[in-house]
Amino acid sequence: MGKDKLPLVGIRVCDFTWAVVGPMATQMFAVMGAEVIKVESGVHTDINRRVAPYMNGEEDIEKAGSFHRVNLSKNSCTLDMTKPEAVEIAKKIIAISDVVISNFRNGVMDRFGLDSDTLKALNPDLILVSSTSMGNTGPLKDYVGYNEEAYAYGGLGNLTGYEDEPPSMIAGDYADYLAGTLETFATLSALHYRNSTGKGQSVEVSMVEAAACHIPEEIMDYAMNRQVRRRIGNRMQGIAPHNCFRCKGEDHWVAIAATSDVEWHALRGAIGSPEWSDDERFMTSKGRFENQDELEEHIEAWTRNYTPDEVTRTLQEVGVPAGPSMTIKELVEDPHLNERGYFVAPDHPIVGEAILEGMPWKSSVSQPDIRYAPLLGQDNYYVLSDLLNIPDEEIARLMAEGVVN
Amino acid sequence: MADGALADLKVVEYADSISGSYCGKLMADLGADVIKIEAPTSGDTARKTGPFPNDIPDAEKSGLFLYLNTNKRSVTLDLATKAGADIFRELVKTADVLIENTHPSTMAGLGLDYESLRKINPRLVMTSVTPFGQSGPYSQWKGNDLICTHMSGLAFHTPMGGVDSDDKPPLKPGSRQSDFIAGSTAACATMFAVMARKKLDAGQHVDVSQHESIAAFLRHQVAYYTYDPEGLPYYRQLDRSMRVWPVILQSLSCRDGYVFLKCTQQSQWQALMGLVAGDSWQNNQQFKGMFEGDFDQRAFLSTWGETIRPMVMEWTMQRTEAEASATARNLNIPLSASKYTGLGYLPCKDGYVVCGCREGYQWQQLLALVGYELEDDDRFRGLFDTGFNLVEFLTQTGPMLWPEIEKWAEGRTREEITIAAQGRGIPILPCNTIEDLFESAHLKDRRFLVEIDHPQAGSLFYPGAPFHLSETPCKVDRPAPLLGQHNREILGDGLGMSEQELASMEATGII
Repeated sequence: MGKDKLPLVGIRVCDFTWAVVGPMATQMFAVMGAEVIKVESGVHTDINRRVAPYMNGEEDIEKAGSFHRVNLSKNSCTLDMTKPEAVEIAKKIIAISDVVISNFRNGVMDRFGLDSDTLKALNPDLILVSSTSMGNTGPLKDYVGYNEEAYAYGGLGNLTGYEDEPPSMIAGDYADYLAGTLETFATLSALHYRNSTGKGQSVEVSMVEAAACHIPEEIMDYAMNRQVRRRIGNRMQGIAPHNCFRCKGEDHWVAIAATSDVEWHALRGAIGSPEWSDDERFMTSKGRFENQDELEEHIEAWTRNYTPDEVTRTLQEVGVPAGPSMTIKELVEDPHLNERGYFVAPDHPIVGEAILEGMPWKSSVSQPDIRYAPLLGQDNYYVLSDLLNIPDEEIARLMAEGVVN
Repeated sequence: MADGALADLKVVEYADSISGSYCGKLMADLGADVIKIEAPTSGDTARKTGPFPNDIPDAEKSGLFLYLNTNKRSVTLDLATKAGADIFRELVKTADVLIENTHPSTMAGLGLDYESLRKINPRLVMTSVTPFGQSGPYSQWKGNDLICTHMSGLAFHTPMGGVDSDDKPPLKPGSRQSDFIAGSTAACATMFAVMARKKLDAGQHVDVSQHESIAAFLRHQVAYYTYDPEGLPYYRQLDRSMRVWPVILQSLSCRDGYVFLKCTQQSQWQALMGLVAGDSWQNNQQFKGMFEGDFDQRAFLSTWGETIRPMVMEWTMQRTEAEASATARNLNIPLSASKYTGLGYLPCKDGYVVCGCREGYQWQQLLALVGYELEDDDRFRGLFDTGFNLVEFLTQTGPMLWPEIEKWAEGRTREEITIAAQGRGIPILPCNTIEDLFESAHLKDRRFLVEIDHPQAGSLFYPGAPFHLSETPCKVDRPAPLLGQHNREILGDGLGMSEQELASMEATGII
């Protein structure tokens, strides 16, 4: 598979991002052909190099799966940005880049001397991308927050949880991935625009607003009716059954959603049309929704006798949406995902061929180029010598003095 | 104002409900000319799902549809008729992108699959968004947000931090997240293909799976499983959060609920043994060799976990949450009635705030805010000195601190807490209700909600742009279209069909 089929070959990204939201975006650029130069401190490394899991539990910045999951196919160059000479090197990288991207708190890039005016002067058609929790403007722009603060402020947190209970935390770095995906699209659109006009611009992402864009039904209900929607667990407004049911065995569950009369009758039939299901109240979608507590009890009495897999196959066979609530083990071993080649195992020089998630789409021509996440500073020489033409003696001095660390 | 970033793209969208339409909206709001093909009479199902003003169903007033279809033009077309399919081909012939989210067999059944369409337009980028993708054993299955989210592992690991009762099922996040995630993923993949076209001088087929799109947010948990499976707790009763707390024996039933145990040090386990096995446990043959050699918790638990768990359970089962945690606290055993472990929601006077302290200085500030005298308190000695370790800190002190933090928060409002915390650089923000979003001075200042006037639904505030492009901002030139609003404009003016042809197609239900 030639890299020449990838859309971003020839695009260089100067990447100051760390943690998850920014790296999520730059990983997509990297696997689609861009040359992503991850600028990190050799001492205060990307936090994910210091977050478990480590290969076989061995704590080591080069064995952190947490880092590898969002930094595939990038280059790493270590610069101590507290040193003026390092900032000068960064400026040289920026001068030959197409995109500069960061997810520091507001003001950090400015303190490095890399404010947007300076960058635009260095390289007028640059695309300048930043993401923060609250955005670059507004009275709360300097508030600190991460993933959970972003989705909580954005309204999604309060909608996640069991009915009549406190809100529940969403698994993982949800808002980071969500905002990182939108940031990727926005940046690609800016690149597309530059392709036809030659003009660069800045792209700004607020994680709070990105999350709020994913709850429009609730926002529009308030806009229309001043109706404040609450947490409803796995249920859905107006639709029943729509929940997760206990199955045979310990802590095994299946999700079932019959979203139309046709699906409801198919579900009934699959259960064997028991007497309770003749109840008139269950004949209309309104009736099913209003009596869903009872309806769910009946369904769970059935699902309890089978494994999630058995329930899923029985229902899917008759066209009812159903699927097991998977553990991570089940996800990684899932035959469907494996047949689609979803997982990747780049050959990392230290941890070997460890399995990670790939890209969630398939293109008939442009296949992602998956390479291992970089070792700390592995591309220093390439960046300094090949890209910036800095003589070897000078590189040696920069390293000795810790400018390149 | 410059034209939109995607103003040169013509997009045909044959999409229903959320995933494909959100992909189309992202492009339309940046200027792409998106022609939405809807079924005659019934239209997009999003027109039926609401919310509606005063809860009265009206195909032109569904809030979901209005949001998802800004800036698009609507054409009604029955693709099952030959004439309808022919018109569709005419539209696709000059399009840059086709977005569709039908079942994988549908387009082929209509003779409108990628292989057929590329013959009439080799530069076409066709993006298909489906629950499980175009290939693989589940490709023919039915799916939706609930099913895809549960099959991704996200639901099994929500709530993060574990459940406090076996009765609680795995949980999906609010609203229909995976539909939107599939849409934004599709928008990225589509743009990659559009940009590749410049190099290849050819389009391609892009296959987006909603299931994979949401599973892709489990990257950390998957890495846990493949790098260090022992570190990944996958019994839900245990702490399921991922950052986090390599602890076994975590949630334990007690008389009136659950208590949570987070021992990590030898001294804590020894104190626990004293508590559950009596003072002379060291003389008991059963425990011979328990703490010999260097302490390695993982090895310790794999050898002794099965022995200890029933003993601890027997002890906790006889006590209430309050009794158990008070006794444990006196012995410096990290056991508490609170399941909070550091990251999480804090109940307060008027709702919840969320606290995400990760760094030592943030915890120092939070503890000082709550009223701890850190200098004089032995329990904190050395914890913040060098190389702060969040896991160690929380496992040692979290269960003791968190009830105090909760007590502090209880009597204060979200605003009081947030202002006090943020003044010290502590990452705490309010957990906003939908009403709060409308009232937020910050979001108002940023003009996040935008007012859009629609001929039938009237003027309403919608969620605005998820990102800002300085030269080519998202903007809404047109509200969502009425069903078939642009039939004449697109088919008549665009494709040159006569008024008679249009009238006859209307009469026969083709448009």
